[in-house]
Amino acid sequence: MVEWVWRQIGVELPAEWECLQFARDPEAGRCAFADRHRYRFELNWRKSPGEPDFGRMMKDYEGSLAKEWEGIRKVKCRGWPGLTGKRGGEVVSRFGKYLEEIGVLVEAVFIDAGERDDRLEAKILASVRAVPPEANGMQLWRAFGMEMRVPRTFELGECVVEPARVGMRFDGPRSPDRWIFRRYGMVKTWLKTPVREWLVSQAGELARNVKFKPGGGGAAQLERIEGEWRPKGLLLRRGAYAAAAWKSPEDGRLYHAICITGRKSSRFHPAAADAVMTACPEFLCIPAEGDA
Amino acid sequence: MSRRAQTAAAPGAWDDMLKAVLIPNRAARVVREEPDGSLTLAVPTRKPSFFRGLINWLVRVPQERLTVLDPLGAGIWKSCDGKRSVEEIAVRFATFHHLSFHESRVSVTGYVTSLLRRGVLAVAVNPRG
Repeated sequence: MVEWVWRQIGVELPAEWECLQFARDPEAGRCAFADRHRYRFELNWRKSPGEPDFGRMMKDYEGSLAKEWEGIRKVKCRGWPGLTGKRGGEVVSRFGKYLEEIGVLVEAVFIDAGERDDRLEAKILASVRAVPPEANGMQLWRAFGMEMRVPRTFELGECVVEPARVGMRFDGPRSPDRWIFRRYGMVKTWLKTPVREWLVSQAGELARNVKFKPGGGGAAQLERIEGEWRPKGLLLRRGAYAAAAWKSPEDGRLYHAICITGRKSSRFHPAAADAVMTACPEFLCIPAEGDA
Repeated sequence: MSRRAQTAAAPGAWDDMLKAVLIPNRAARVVREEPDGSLTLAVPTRKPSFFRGLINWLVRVPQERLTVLDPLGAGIWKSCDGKRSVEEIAVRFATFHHLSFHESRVSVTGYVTSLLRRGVLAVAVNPRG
């Protein structure tokens, strides 16, 4: 099982279930996870000022789903009220819960091809938790093989997920605050220079006076740089630039963290960019040849 | 409420593609194989009807179209032996390049689609029933 933390909601899922759909909207959205052949799980969320009337909600839900589902019935699992029924050749089960700590209504949807897997449902539902900001003001995110900690005021501005390339950008409320986290695969096929050279090439011309920071090297070939962030333009705010890159010896992927922090948010500026990002090689579940 | 069932209503949208078997075009031939693994393939072109006759005499239409495959693409092309399904090819690619299944599936199906367009491959959907 691998823990996924997205928008302050944490859930543990089988490692072979991959996230194929995600939403950035903090108000309402969905992450959908699939195994090799079909969607298996959905995590829906909606901000809510208070706990809804679940009894009434389930009744309304049952009425609206009765047209599509067969043998619809109420179920309860680990304290989560829910509905289950057959739709076509699959069993769909929906459970809801209000996470008071973060004021979010969460819905977990399970899709099974044949029989309902009660044990797996119970295991997953038991793992769903609210992940509020930590005492130091940092918010945890754990997704796409990366564990990231960003200031609580930062919003997920962009998330790009492609084969062997993931990038997540968090934007602060003030310019130029921006933290970027990336994870690359198939490194042997495209990285032809040492990690150190590659890291400097990624800094671009807006990062000035770039210096290497000590503490690099090791099995992961960790490299760190820091410098000044000086965008072109007199009115554009300057700040500090810190970046780190390393190749994980466990999954062979290249991890890259960039922290651009303005003077007003200097208390969040990390000493090294790798301090706010951790590699999660357990996310990578490689199928064994012959099991197709 | 209607939005809620959308994702769950589309399971396995990629499943038919996974069951498909890819057959290499028998008329395609390997022109060149580089030491790095890249390949150049030549696929015979079909002459459009209006190119027969006088225009054919005026304009020379190439007999073959060349397709250059990089080492990764060449590996995928070599896996398409008419027996392996797309799923088997994706698993093989994932194992070799240390990718997750869906990363590999998206890469393989994207590449295979471009090879199908160029006539290097043909697809047999669900030949095993």
